[in-house]
Amino acid sequence: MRMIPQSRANGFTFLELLCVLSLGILIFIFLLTLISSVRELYHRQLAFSDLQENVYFLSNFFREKIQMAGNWSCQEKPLQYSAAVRIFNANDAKTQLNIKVAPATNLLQLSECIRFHHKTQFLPIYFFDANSGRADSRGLPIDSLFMQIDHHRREELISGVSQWNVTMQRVNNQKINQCVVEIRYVLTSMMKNPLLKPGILYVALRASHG
Amino acid sequence: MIEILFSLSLIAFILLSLLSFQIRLFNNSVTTYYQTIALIQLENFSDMLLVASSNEDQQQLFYEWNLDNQKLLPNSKGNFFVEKDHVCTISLQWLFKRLYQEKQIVNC
Repeated sequence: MRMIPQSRANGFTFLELLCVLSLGILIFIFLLTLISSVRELYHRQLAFSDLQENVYFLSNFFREKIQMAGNWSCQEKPLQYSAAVRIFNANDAKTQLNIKVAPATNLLQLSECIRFHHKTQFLPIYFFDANSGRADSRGLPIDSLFMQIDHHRREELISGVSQWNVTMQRVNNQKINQCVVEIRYVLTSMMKNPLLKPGILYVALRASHG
Repeated sequence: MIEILFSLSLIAFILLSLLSFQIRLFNNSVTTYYQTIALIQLENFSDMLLVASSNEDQQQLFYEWNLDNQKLLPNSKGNFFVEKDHVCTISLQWLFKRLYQEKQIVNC
C-alpha cells in the first residue's frame, strides 16, 4: 500500500490557500458592494415615498383651502371678492405684511372663516416659502413652506419646498366670475440623497361665494 | 476553508435576493409616485376645463397641460375627448418600464 506523506494529508498547499483567500476576498468585496447598493436603494426609496407624501398633502390641502377661500359664513355681510385670494411678491410681503419670504417667490393670502383660539373668525392665512433656519447634510439652508394666521407665529407646513410661485387669473366665463390659482413649486426630499421634483397645482374657484 | 467560502457565497446569495427585492420595492415606489402625479395632473386639467369657455381656450389649455405633463412624468401624453354635452374624458399616459394610464370623466 502506498503511503501518503503526513504533511500533505493534514494541510493545504500554498497554492490552495492563495486560491481560497483570493476567492474569499472577491466574495467579500461583492458582499460589501451588495450591502451598499441595498442601502442606497433603500434611501432612494425613502426619498420617493417622502416626496409622494408631500405632493399628496400639498395637492389636497391647497385644493381644499383655495376652494374654501372667501367663506364668509361667520360674517354678517359678504366681503369683497378681492379679499378672498391675494398674491404678494417678496418685496410687497416684506413692506405690506412684514413677512420675510424667500427671494423670487410669492406669498399666497387666503381669507376665510376659521376656528382659531376657540372662536370662528374671518382671518387671513398666509402661505409662503422661507428659510427654515436649518441646514441639510451638505450644509445648505433648507427652505420650507410656512403657514401664518393673521399676525400670529408662523408654522412650518412642509420642509424642502422651494421656488414657490403663485399666479392668479380672473376669468369671466358665461357671466360667472371664476378665479384660477396656479402654484408651481419644487420639492426636495430631506433624505440622505436629495431628490428635486417640480410640482404644479391648478385650482379653479367660483367667485360668487366670496 | 471551504466552509467559509460556502457560507460567504450563501450570504452573497441572500443579499442578492434582498437587492432584487429592494429594486422591485423601489420601482413600485417610483410607480406610485408617478401615479400620484398623474392623478394630480388630471385634477388640474379638470379644473382648467372648468375655466375654459370656448373650444379654442380648451385647446390652448390642453397644449399647456401637455407641456406640464412632459415636465412631470416620463414620456407622457395627455388626451381629452368630449363624450357628450359638458362631459369629457381626460386621460394621461406615461412610460416608466411599461405603459401606464389614468383616466377620469369630468365636467367640461
